[in-house]
Amino acid sequence: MTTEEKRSLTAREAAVKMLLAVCKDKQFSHVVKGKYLDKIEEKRERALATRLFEGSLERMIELDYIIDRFSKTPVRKMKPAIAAILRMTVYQLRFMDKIPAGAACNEAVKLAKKYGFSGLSGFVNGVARSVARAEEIPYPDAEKDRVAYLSVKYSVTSTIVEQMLAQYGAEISERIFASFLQQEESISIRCMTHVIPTNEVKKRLSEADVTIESGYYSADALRLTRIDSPERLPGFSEGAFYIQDESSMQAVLAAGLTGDERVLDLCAAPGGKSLMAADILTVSGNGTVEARDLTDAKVALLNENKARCHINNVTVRRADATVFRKEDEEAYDVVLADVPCSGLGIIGKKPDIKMFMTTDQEAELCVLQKKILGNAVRYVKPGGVLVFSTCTLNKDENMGGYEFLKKECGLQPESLEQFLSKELWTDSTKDGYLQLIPGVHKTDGFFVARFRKGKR
Amino acid sequence: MALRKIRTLGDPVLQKVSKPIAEVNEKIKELAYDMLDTMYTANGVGLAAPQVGVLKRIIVIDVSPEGNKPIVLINPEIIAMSGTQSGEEGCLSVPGKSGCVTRPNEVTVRGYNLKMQPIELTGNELLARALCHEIDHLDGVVYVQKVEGDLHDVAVQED
Repeated sequence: MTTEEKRSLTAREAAVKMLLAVCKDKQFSHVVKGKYLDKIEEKRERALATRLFEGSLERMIELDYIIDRFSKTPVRKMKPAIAAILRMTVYQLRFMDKIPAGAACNEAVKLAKKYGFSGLSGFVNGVARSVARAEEIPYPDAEKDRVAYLSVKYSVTSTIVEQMLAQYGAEISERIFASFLQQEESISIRCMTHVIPTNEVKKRLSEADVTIESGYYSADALRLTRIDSPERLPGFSEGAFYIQDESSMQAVLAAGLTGDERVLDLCAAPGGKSLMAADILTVSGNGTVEARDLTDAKVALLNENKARCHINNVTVRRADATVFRKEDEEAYDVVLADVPCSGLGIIGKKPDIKMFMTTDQEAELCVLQKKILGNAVRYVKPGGVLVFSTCTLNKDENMGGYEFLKKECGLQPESLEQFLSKELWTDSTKDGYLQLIPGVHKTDGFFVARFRKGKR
Repeated sequence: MALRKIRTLGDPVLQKVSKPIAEVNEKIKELAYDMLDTMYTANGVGLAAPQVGVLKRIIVIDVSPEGNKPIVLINPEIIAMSGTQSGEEGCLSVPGKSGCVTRPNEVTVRGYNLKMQPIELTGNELLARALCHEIDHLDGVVYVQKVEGDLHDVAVQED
């Protein structure tokens, strides 16, 4: 066999390969990016490939809607490579001002030939040029079919549109969908205060001309504006900070750690919550964290992050959270259960979710979540605390888990208000849970709930 | 070192099913080393015996970037596969061409090494692709039969 693997790729070739890997082979977008972007030598080409890939993925439903208006063969019946080429081309035509239409179309034809579809290059050319010539392309009529309109306008599957409309109502749903498409203004980091004090991190970053704001909802969090590669910032390699969305920080804050607790993080990778808990415990006591996850790859990631942030009080272990471990029974003061979920809250970061998540998968996840939560409850010492969190907006999962813990496991929900910033207080925080909503809060979508286990 | 002649598409030997190897004698060892030399010289990542005109079930593979991790497998059999990957594939028997083929993303293969000891090997991505591609040769299958779309000329680096 021979292979082209070692050859470097052009931006458009790489974008098509990445789209194929996600759409056809169902690989995760962040994994695919890691695999292909390195193969592009020039920085500008790499940036173009990233934009083409992420943009085409993020707008795929709208792109398919446009293509279907000009193509006799609907996108879903096309050969995957042709679909990928057309999506990427139409993205350039409709969403990128700086690329001349002719160039986008020519490149599409070249790519089709390169992929061995000489016979279809005329078809690709025809569809691409018709889209290029077309003026305004109207969305489906909002009055007649609200779901179709929202689905195309925000490129979210109608399944998710219907679900969000039913759970959040029209206004909030639209704000959520819009936020998924918005470029994130800033990334948040949490300073590893046991390594370097937050003020010092701030000083070093501002000396490197980074625009910094304080965290909106959490102490020791910073917001950095317009950062391309945070890994290259001063302090990163020394472990002065960890990149973590402020939403996930709330799960650790909700645990209300004081310093000497024994903490278990059941689904820990990549490790933000475990490291944050460990940092708090190091600064104010002698507590320890046990961080677990399911696969070797995740365990490796945990170890890498732990080493970088100079954390000594975390033990990393590979373990399946769905399997009950007798030796852990009633062994922990605090258990963090950030369970696997549908991820609807982080669609802005992982756009593949909004294309591929189904209600069947969500139902399966609910079952898995309850299995993990059932074990988590048994690991908490009598009188100890359980924090349940997800990165989804789906109420079936979030409130389903909440009710399960309260009613079936007999845990007592506890108000979050003494732990969280006042700006996050809502009607529900007194009842022990908080739903963060992108477009409403300046975070990813996230759910956190706090419970206490009764004393015997 | 001896290079063997690589048979190209059209040669009927590529369509034939190869016979299992009963014992590893000097001839088989020489064949294996010649196949490795031939593969490295032609910048390939895998070669099967029928490609050098020998209808025996033996393949050689090396997918490492440095070209220093040769694998020799006798009587290889795929015993498990999972996932899919679609990507460009070429073949030393079809020079200058490539095409898109979908393969499993991970395969486990059982076979024998040159000491005729049983070995089991699990590979993913490029290695999985190479294993499938070479084992196909032993059954008279060339990747062009599995190409999605047309075969095309290997693109010369643009710009």
